[in-house]
Amino acid sequence: MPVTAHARSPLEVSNAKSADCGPLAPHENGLDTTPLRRGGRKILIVDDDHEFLDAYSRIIARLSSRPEVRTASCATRALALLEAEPFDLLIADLRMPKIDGFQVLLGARRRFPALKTVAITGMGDQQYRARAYASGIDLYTEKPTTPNEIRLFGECVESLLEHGTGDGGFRGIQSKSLMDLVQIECLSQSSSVLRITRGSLEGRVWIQNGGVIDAETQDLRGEEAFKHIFGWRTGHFEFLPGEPGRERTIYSSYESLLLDSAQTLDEALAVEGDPGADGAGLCRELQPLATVRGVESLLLVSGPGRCESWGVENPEDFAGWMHRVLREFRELGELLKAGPLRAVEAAGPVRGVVLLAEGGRELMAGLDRKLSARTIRNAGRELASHLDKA
Amino acid sequence: MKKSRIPQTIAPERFRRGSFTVSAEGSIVVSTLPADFSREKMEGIGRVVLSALSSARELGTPFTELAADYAGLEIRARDLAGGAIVFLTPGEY
Repeated sequence: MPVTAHARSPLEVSNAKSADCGPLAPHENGLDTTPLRRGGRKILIVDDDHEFLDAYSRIIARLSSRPEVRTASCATRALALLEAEPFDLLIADLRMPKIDGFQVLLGARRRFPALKTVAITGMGDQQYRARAYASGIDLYTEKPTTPNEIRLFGECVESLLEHGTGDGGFRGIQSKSLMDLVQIECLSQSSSVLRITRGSLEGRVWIQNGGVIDAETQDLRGEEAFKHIFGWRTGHFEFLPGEPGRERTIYSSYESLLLDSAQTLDEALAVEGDPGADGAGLCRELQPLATVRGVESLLLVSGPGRCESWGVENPEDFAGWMHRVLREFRELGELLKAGPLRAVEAAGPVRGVVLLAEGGRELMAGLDRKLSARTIRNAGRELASHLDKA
Repeated sequence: MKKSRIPQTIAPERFRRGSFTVSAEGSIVVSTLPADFSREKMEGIGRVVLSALSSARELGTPFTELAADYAGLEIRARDLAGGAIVFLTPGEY
């Protein structure tokens, strides 16, 4: 249950500035035309502009550290990839539909404090720049267009990767679980109001002389509210001054309250199979499917109202589309006497997909758009095999 | 001609290789399929293919290629400015 708050230190600001115009690398232009070799570092680039995505991938993959580059064309997929595998650096375009780059970068930074973050934008704006650095982003840069800008961009990325490990120090992000926060306040006999937000949700916990006396969120109050807030696995917190006149609704000790809340949460997680914070994680049923090469998103419909998704931006719309397409092709197969429908595959500039139906379940797997038709076919067979076993 | 003594297994219909082009309106423009492959079947395939491609476009995920893999047939379609060229290939079963 990490709950995070920003507390950006001057040290971090200084680091970010030096990365912005960092020292030149020993090699002359930061690029290399020798064949690609994996160097152990992984970079995720997210941009809705596919041409830029391709260009960046090529530029970055040729850096001397030979990073492995993954791309995502939308925020949802980027967050899903971040959940699925470790990355050293996240580069995000600030202007994207639905969830913009700021949200992606900040969300990723909160969840993965060690992840380096780069914001790129097509238009230079001092307010954006200030907001980016104030938010804890490591580097803010305009999209490079000239060879010189590309060289500098490559060097900045290289510099961030070099400083990505083993440099220690403070990065200005405080990440604590709610249990830690309450314990710290109670052990120090403090009086404060812990305000926690998670998206549009807000909760408050009143602590008085080292004891939890009240909690409130939405229409809940007391222990019920405390347990509800405790179930938010991510969010922001801030401590407000104590309110001595607050009416007491909680009489349990903070230790038993925390223990009870943790137990309730564990039981709830065991039942729901922990889908992960903000729905970006993988449910157990999707885990083996996500290991298939090239799979970037998954949508599994097991029956009416039973839909599990990973990295799909609008799962309900796609579930409807998948169902319609599979039904129409099945009916077409019957008309043509073509035998059972094994899969429907599609490829386009945004992504590839494989649609499968097995035992009343329908699966849509989003695939890397660069995969060949043969690889898509093989991925479909492997997915069908996993689906069959599940 | 001698009758085969090999027992017949239940199998999908045998198809012959060929292609046809369907306009955005769903009419067949040109076909290399044998004459015994009816126009209605081609129009049926075209309808399903165009419907899948256009509905994906509406969801913001345009596809340039679409393939349906049946036990006895593969239908592979390529988007042609709203219409499609469709290739039929007998499957291996």
